[in-house]
Amino acid sequence: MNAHQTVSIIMIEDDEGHARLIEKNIRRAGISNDIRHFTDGTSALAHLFDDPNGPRHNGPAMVLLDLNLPDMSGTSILEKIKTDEHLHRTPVVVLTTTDDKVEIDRCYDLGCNVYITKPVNYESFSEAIRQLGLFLAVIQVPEVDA
Amino acid sequence: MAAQDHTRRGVIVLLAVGAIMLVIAVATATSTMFSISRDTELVEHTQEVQATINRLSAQAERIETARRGYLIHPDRSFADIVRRANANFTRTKNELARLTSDNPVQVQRLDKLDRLDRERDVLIEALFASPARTRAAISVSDFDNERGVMITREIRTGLDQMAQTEVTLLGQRNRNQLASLVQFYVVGGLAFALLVFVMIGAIVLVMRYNRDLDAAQGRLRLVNEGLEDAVKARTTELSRANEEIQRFAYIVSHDLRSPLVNVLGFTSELDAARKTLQTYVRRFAEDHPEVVGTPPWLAVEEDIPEALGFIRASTEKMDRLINSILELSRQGRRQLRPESLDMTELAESVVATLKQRADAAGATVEVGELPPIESDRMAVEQIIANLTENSLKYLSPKRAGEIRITGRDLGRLIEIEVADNGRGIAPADHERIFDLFRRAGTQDQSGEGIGLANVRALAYRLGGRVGVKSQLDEGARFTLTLPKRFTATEPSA
Repeated sequence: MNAHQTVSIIMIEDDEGHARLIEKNIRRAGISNDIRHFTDGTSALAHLFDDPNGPRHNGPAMVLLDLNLPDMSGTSILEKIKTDEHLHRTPVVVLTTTDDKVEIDRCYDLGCNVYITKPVNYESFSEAIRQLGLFLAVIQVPEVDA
Repeated sequence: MAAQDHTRRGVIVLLAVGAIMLVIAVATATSTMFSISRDTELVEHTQEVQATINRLSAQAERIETARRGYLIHPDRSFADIVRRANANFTRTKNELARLTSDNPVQVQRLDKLDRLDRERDVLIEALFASPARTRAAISVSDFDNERGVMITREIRTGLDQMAQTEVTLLGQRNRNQLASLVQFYVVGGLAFALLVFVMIGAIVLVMRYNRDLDAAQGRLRLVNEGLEDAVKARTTELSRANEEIQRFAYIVSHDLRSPLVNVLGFTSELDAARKTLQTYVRRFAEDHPEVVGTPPWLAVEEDIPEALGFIRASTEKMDRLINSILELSRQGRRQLRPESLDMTELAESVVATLKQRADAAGATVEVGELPPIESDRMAVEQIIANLTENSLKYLSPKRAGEIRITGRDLGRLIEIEVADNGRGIAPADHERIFDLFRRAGTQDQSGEGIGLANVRALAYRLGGRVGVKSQLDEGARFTLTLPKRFTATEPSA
């Protein structure tokens, strides 16, 4: 991790339980970055694009995205991030229950960096999140073009 | 329909009337023709009689002229002429007698003529015998009152009368002929007019019948089109409903997984927390052995792990069921692509993939000659694989497994049978085994009760059916019927 830049993790996940489990496992992996949790697409988009402290205006971030949101589809958020001139390099990890091949292909087409299916088996789940934590620890998150 | 019957009956009646008219017309025409020809014969006869009378009259005059010549100058040549003319007269008279034998008036006149002729013959013979005396007798008396002249005059009058009668007869017969002709024309004309009328009537009726038929056909076409549309609409509706169910199953199973992630996740978290407590309690028990067996110790050591175990097992089972539904719905949403399938080859390749399992179970799988079809490869493979797998799974421990895949051509359909000598299925369970999550017999094999439900759903989708014949412990025979040509009726997604 770059010491001078704190990469905030933006978690867009409507299920509180999932969010809690993800957060717990990320913490267990030794990641202490700031985690901001949004349960719906609208507020997440507001933070991403309009919040002065949000990623578009201030600092690098990575996004953990669930595809099934109450107010919009996760893919449209993905599309918005990946077509924005400032945010398009922001890493997006899609973390969802859908293992439909069509959906996975669509996410990669839209530019998602990693696609993780939430396994019901908790050991696999926490393993996946821990690996994600390791992944977070090693990747170089690009500067957001201010 | 009643109107058409009516019209048809009308046409038949009209045609019958026309036929009767024609018969009547022909009969009338024939009889009229006969009467005309009879009249014509009669007219000709009368004309012949007239000619004969004229000839007879001329011969009478000739006899008289020659007789007078002989009177003036008794020469042999005059006598020859008289004799010849007399012979002719007799012949002509006989002919006339033959011709007029049917007419009593003329016969009577001819009799009178006969008498006069005979009297004249006597006179002429007397003249030829002694011409001088005869001449002397005439010269004394008035010549005008001479008997020969009188006879000639009477013959002339008689013949004139006969001729007059024949003229009258001719007129009458001519009128008859004309009347016959008029009758012929009138009857013919009437029959012709009636025929024309009948024909026009028939034509009108036939035209009306045709028009009715056209209208009926039009209505039928409309109804047919309506029916086709209705069927199409219904099919679309059903496919849409089916699609809706598939989508519903997909979404439901999908959204059901989400809470499961939580249940399992937090169960694990709970287990982790229990382990922490367990460590604590165990360390405490080392110092205080009296706590072993007390409720808090039991809770941490037995009750909580047991409860968590059940929660985990149930949730995992639920997850498998949801995955199965998801899989089924995914298959249900898959677009079917019909292609030509060599079924024998297909079945053999399916069996080849199951070879290890068959060997492990000590069973043999035999594939017979199967008729080729045009259908979706994956779906058919899946069905045969599922049926064969089931056979391998539920073998009887009493005998070596024998599985036979055979086929029959049923015309528009084919039948494929997967028969085994396994443990069989009780008749009461024959319907049940095709239900989702339902299984039959001893539950000694793993499985969720998906296979046959999937087989039946696939068979239905392919336009076919699947059924079973079996008795407990006597093996099972699964019969799959598929159309030779699968045509997709589902709307393209």
